[in-house]
Amino acid sequence: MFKRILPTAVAISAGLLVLLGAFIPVDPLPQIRAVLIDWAMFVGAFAFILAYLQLLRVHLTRLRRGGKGKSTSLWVVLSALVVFVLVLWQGPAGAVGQTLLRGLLAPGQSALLALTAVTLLLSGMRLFKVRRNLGSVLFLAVVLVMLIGSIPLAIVPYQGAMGTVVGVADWLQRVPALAGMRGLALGVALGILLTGLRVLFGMTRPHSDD
Amino acid sequence: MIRCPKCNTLNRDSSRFCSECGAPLYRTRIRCPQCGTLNPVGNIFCDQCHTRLVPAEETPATPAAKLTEETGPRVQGISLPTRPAPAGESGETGAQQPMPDWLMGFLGPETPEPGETSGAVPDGLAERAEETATPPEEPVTPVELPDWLTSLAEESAPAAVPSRPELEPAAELPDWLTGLAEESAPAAVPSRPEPEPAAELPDWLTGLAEESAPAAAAPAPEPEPAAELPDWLAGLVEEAASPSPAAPPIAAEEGIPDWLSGIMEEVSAAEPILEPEPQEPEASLEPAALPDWLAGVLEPEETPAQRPGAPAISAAPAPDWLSAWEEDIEEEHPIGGREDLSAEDTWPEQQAPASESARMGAGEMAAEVPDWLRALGPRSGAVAVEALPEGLEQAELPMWLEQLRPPGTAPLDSSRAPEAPPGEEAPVEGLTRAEIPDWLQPYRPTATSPATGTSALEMAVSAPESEGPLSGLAGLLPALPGVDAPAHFAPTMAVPLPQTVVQEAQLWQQLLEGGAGAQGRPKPRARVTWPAVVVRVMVALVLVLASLLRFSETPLAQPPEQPNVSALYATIEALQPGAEVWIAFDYTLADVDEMDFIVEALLEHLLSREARIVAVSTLPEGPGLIADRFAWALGRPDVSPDSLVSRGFVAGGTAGVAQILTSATADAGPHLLVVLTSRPEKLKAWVEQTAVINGARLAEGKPALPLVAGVSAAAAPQLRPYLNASAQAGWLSGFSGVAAYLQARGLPPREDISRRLDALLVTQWLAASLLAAGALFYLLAGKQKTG
Repeated sequence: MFKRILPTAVAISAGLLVLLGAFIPVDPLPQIRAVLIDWAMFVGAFAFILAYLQLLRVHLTRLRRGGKGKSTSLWVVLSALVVFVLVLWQGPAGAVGQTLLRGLLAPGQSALLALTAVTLLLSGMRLFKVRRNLGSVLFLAVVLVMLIGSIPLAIVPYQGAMGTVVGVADWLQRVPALAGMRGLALGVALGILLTGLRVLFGMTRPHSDD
Repeated sequence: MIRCPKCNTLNRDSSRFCSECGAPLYRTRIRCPQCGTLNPVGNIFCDQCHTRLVPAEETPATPAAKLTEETGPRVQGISLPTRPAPAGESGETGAQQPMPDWLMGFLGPETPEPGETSGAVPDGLAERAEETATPPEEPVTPVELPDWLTSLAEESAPAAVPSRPELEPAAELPDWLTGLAEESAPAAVPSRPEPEPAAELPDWLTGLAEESAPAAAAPAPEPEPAAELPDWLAGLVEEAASPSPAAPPIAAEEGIPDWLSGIMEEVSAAEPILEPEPQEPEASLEPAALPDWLAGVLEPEETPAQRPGAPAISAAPAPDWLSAWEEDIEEEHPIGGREDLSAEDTWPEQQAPASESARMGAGEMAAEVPDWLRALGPRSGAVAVEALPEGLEQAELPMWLEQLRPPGTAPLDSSRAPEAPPGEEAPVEGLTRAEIPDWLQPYRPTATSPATGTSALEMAVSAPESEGPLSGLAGLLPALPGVDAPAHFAPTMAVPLPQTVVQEAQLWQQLLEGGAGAQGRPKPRARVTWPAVVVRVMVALVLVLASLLRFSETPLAQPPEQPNVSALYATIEALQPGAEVWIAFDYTLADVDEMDFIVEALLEHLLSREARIVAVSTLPEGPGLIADRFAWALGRPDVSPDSLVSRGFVAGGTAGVAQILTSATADAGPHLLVVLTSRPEKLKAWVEQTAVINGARLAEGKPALPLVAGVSAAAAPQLRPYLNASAQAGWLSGFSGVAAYLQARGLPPREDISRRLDALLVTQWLAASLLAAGALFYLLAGKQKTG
């Protein structure tokens, strides 16, 4: 009974209180809302700790069982433990932490992003090899217009043909892209609202076992 | 149709259970070895890929057991085929050999009713005889007609015959028929003409032509007395001479068939071709003109050996099937028991040694002639049938010849044939077997002597029919599979199964065939060819070199003025000294190189306005980013550490944003909120939660919290709707925005920013060029074939 009803009751109550605190700024609703949001932050922070512990457990288990990927797991475990200790010792803005941030993590993620750019370019080049339809033509046309139209030119004035391309690129961002994004935003908002109402009315009980 | 495996009942295709015994009817299919398609049983080729399903060499012999087992129970009687049997089925039993025409004549489109009998004639035969009374609808094709009948159909050949041909046995006509013709010819021709060979017209037909010719040219001579000439033949002669004024019109009344009447009328209308000759009564009965059996009829006391003038036909052996018929008569009905013969008892049998028939005397054979066969005799001479020789009255055209009868002519009326009492019939002598011409030989029923082995077909033939219109008759060909079953007969239903069912069955079969090895099979990795690798490397090198090399000392890129950047500059410029500005560092490390320039541009301006900076982040890496940028800011002159406050990381995602804004606006609140992000969802969260806070602040009478943003160039297209709607205070994106912001502030362009803008310009042009070139190349090269 407690596994089914209690989590649902807590979730519905917390949601209603936060919602009331947002729409009805009457004491003590805003304070209750702020307290509940703080608890959410604590829970979120503790989730990071749980994730860190779970990561260690998985890779330690893999090290214990052996097999493929054992060396990778060893490096992951060692890195996690060393960084954890060093950041605890020096803090987030410590020298070790900043060195790892600027010398390892940032270049790595930037390289991955650059690799993504090259891969996307190759895929665009080979698009007609695997698919020929109106969507492919439209896709390539939009990519070309956006690439050329967003180039910060200094040697070519924003007039004539180039001005037209820049104008088309700007129109694409202001009208079609804006319409699509707003449509998506509305859809997402309605979905969130519906999900919230279902949780509030107990129709969906993600916090219980059933 | 589906044959029940239990009771062999034929059920409908859609039946699931036998309608007779209720047994379930299973469906079986033949899987194509090539494509795996399930084909109905009976298919020789696959419906999908046309692969042969049955081996071509699979033509087993025809054992008797296999005949009875595979063709099911022997179908009693003959049911009419609806479709020809497939070759695959018939090839196994060998029973579907082409049926001879003489037997096909009995397989008329209608099955005779058992109750309808015509005297002693079997039901089927009597019905057939009645059917032949009506002219056939379809003319006989010239291909099926022998030459002599072709000339008969043309009906003009007699006119071209100058004289009566020699009465020799025709090469293509059985002797007994030849004799029949000769028998009728002298009835009208008193003397034999000069022998002139007729290549295409048989003698007896030539005789008919000769008889009709004088009728049109001159008065016909007196016919032969009835005692010497059969009356029905005399009637033929008279009918042929009917156009003559001297001849009495007796054709219609005398029972001459219409088709013969038509022939005679047309012949009589032709040119006279023969001079009338005086008739010689004895000429019609001379041995050279009559076959032995007819001669024996006319002269019972004379044996064929005693007739020196008889042609070779008298000594020629009778066909086997006729001998078998005689043997059958002898066995089942002894001599003198002719009155016991009936249609159910006798029928030509295929197997009969010639020696046995040879032992049968002529008189015995005549006595064994069944009534029904006698009834088929002189139909055309019904008026004078009493005067006909007994053997001659049996001379009826066989059924196969009836079918070859020209259209528009009436057959002989068998119903008018009188039936003489069996006991009064004189024994017929000289009823020898006639020669079967060569062209009829292929249609003769096959017979194999027991010494050479008996096939299953022959064994089946030897059994008499037990029921049906042909009951009691032996020697019939067995019911063929194609007779009682459709051509594409399949023991299973050919009901099209749903595609899902077929796919499920195929999946099960694949699993069964593949076993456990079929599961968990590693998917082969896509092979990367060296040209693809080279292209990738080349593209990457082009982009890297374009971003590193500096092509000109003069900046290539010059961003245009941007209203949102100008608004941002105005917002920051309007801040009072000491104003609290909250900055959210919510960008990832991958965008550090780009976002650092944005942070520096904004932070420098804010610090120049003596704002108090409070940094916060909802990302775990945020505190490090904040510390790094604060370290850069602290390196600038006139920046005190007290103006830079870091709140670090706030967990909770959107809840963390709400908590930050709630705590920030608890007191007087910040004067400006700056969101630095490269992730769209982060900016959305900040925009939405700021709207909530602003609603509360506006309700309390406080001013709304302005929001400005600095986003990466990649996230700008997605965030533009939010920025245009909620960040009216301004925003900037990418290197272009930084350059524009610096330009708005009136600062000279920074070299590092200009260099990055130039690299961006070149790489974007190269990327567009490569994209267009690749698209054009593959557009011309063709589409890749999948699979």
